Parts: sequence; structure tokens; C-alpha cells
Amino acid sequence: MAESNVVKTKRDNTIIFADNSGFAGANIYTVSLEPGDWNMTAALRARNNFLDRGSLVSSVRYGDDTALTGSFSAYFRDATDAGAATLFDLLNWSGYVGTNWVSTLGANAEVKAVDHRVTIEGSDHGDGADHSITIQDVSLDYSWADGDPVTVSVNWQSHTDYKPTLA
Amino acid sequence: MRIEAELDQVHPPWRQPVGGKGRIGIVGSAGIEDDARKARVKWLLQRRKHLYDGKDYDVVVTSYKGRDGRMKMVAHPVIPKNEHTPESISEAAKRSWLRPEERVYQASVPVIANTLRVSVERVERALIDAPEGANLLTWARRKLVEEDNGASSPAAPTPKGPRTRKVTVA
Repeated sequence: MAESNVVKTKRDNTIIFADNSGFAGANIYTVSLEPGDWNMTAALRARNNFLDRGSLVSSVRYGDDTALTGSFSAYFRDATDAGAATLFDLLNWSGYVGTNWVSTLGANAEVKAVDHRVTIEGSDHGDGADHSITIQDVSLDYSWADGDPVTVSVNWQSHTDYKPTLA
Repeated sequence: MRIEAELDQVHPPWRQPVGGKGRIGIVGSAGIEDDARKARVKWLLQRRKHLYDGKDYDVVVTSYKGRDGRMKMVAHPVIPKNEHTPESISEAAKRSWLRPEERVYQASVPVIANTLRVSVERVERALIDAPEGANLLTWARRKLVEEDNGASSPAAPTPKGPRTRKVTVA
């Protein structure tokens, strides 16, 4: 299929998290009521140049991987709930999430992680299908700020991927 | 292709070209008001996209109603984790068409076990009564969830009115 030439906007995107059971499993959380500022930094792999007494010799090699990182913000709505997942419980691994979700790094893993995905509307705009960007094994941290509205700024980092899975 | 035949039936204009100057595409799922029909079309389009790439991915349709009352819906794939390549999953999917007694011993079992991060034994148990032609990954996942739910305490909290509604179209 040809590359789409429809420019996408924040109206097209949805942020989703899933636990160890995956995106078809019982535990997924879709972030709603957010301004639409999700971002990702993909430094990929270091590209190391080697110099011959100071001159580039066109012998570039890959060096270390750099984990994918990113952030987004959302409006604060609820703290904790024993019966349903909330964003704040996902961030703190408490409430329903703490009891029922399983880390993608394993049930006994010290660091709690989830799979993370941004879906992008496509088929309503003339593309062959919808699109998605998936990052595996993501841990989260955040800051919380009072105001109008109260906002939660979420930072994420992958512990597996240096580049996202695109579909 | 069977998927395209179903698309022709469910939403006949799906493949018609749209756009003009500076915009080229197909109708796709545009213009469908009925949620269930739209979910089906999106599911089919997503499946078709990956099959064309040689990837036999499961597809889920996730939807939720925004505060503006509009239903937002998107189809996305169930991508196997880390160690699985599209080729290994395609191979596992092909094996699902073997007779049940042969099936559980095929290489698809460890692939599924790795994907779901459970033991091979649990996967074999889950697949023992899988019907002919079933998607083994989907079947195993469902059976394991049922098994886990059955083993959990009756006092375990159940979700109240989920904020996210997930629609999976078979």
C-alpha cells in the first residue's frame, strides 16, 4: 500500500496501556481526558565514528542501544479505585491495578511495567487501516500539579525497546 | 481473498478511491454510522493489512465514548512479544489447522507459552479441547483467563462500569 498522505492530528490518537495479558487481554487502560501531547524520543542506537588520526574514515558502527522514552499529560480525575483501573493507580501500581494487573516483566519482577501503545485513526481518513505504535515493557513515573485543571505529567521509559513496533 | 469478499458485503464502497488534489486513498471505514458495522470493517481492514505483510496477527477493536458523546474506535493488532517473529507466528497459525491430537505437540505450543508467559504444560492443557481451525493463541489465552478467574478468590473485586469498553469482533 502507498504511504498515506493524510496528515494526522491529536484527534486521531489514543493512548493505551496493557498488562502481561496483552492488548487483547482483560487488563487494558485507555487514557481519556488528556490534551493530546504524547511524545516519544527514539535515540535508537549510538552510531560510532572512528577516526584515522583525526579524519573520518566512513567506518561507522552501531554502539549502545538507547531505550525509548517519552511523556504525556492527562487531566487528573480519580485517585484510586478497587474495582476499576485508574491512571493514578496505574502510575502507583495500587488499587485495582495493584491487585489484578501483572507486570509485563513477570509477576515477581521488581519493576512494574506495562505495554504501551498509541493508536492512530486511519481507515476513516482513506488509509488502508488504522495505525499503531507499540512500546514494550514500559515503566512509568509522574508529577502531579494543582491548577485548572489538575494535571498529571507522565514519563515513560521502555526496558526492552530501542525502537517501537509499528503496525 | 475472503476478507475482501466480506468487506464487499459489509461495506461495499470500502475500496472506492477518494480524494482529489493532494489526497489519495480509499473509502475504508469512513461514513459508517452503526458502531458494530464500523468495528467489523475496521477489524477486517486491519487483518487485511497485516496479512498482506505476511503477518497473521490477531486484531482487537478498542472503543470508548468521549465526553462529547462520540464513540471513538480503533483497530489494532495483537503483536507477539520480543522473541517471536512474524514468520514464527504465521507458522504457528498454520499448525492450528492440524488435527487436535497432533496440534498440542507442534511447535506452536512453546510459541504461545512464550507469548503468554506461562508454562508449556498450561498451554497444552488449555489447547486440549481446542476446536478444529481455532486460532490457538486466542483459544489458549481465553482458556487461561477462565482458569485464572476460576482459581481466584470469590471476594476478588470485579470491575465496576469500566471506563474503557473493549469490543473484540470475532
